[in-house]
Amino acid sequence: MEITARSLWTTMHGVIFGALYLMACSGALVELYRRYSKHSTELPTQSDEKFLRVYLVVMAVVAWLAVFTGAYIVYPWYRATPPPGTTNLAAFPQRLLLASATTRGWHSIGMEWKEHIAWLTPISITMAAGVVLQYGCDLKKIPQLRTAVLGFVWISMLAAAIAGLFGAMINKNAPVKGGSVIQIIQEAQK
Amino acid sequence: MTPQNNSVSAVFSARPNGAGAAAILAVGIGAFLLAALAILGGKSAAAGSAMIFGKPTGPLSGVTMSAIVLWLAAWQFRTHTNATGTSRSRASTQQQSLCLFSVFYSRSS
Repeated sequence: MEITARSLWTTMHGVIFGALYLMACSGALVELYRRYSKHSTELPTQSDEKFLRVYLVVMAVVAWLAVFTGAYIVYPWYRATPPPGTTNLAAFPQRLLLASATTRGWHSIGMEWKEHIAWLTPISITMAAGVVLQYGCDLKKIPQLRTAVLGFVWISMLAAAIAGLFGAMINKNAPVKGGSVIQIIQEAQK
Repeated sequence: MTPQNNSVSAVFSARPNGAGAAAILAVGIGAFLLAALAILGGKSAAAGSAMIFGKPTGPLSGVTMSAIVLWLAAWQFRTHTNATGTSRSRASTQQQSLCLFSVFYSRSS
């Protein structure tokens, strides 16, 4: 069982950082709503508050890792320019997608959406983490701020979901692969 | 008001929401700038070239780095001006909606 270096980085970007972030969003939404709802009569304990703060900060870190690995590691491989006369475009995903009318849209719409909208994710969640760090339990007494923070966590999840969906479909049609081969499991020679 | 709500109110006093509103407004500004710079980089060859901060990534590097730097600068600036004040959150929410709409509109056009 083997994987190429570029495939590994793409997997880390999309599955490790991206999917992990999306899963974490549900926890953040539930906790933000439950802890700071005006209908909640329970007082959040100090450890609850600390947990939520650490949770949101870790989410922000994961989101930034996702966009930076995407933009500065995987994306250059995706948009690499083939040498003149190249007929096999498998190593040049962007050109491969643009070469056919049936796949062109995955770049012109999919990647163009993905490479820009994804940045809303870390920006929004960083803001949410910053506000929760600063206000903590006081968010219960400022419902507009709480609603705005909840709204932006929703936006970050939606942006991440759109970017992830397009990324998965683009990689399905024109996978980023190449570089050194990493042996995960060495099969015994028969 | 029930005694339980009284105890909750006693524990949590309403703080000025200025710093929080500043953070939210800054996100709106950052989102708008991301869209504006992306459109500018796409429409103008000169702007697109100027946005190439890292050649492998192309104009996306300059667009996103500029938007992030300006977002952080707006956050810091608004925090200093709003730190002790209370902002009208509804106006900030409308601005954010406008900024988000501009991002989606620019990508679909």
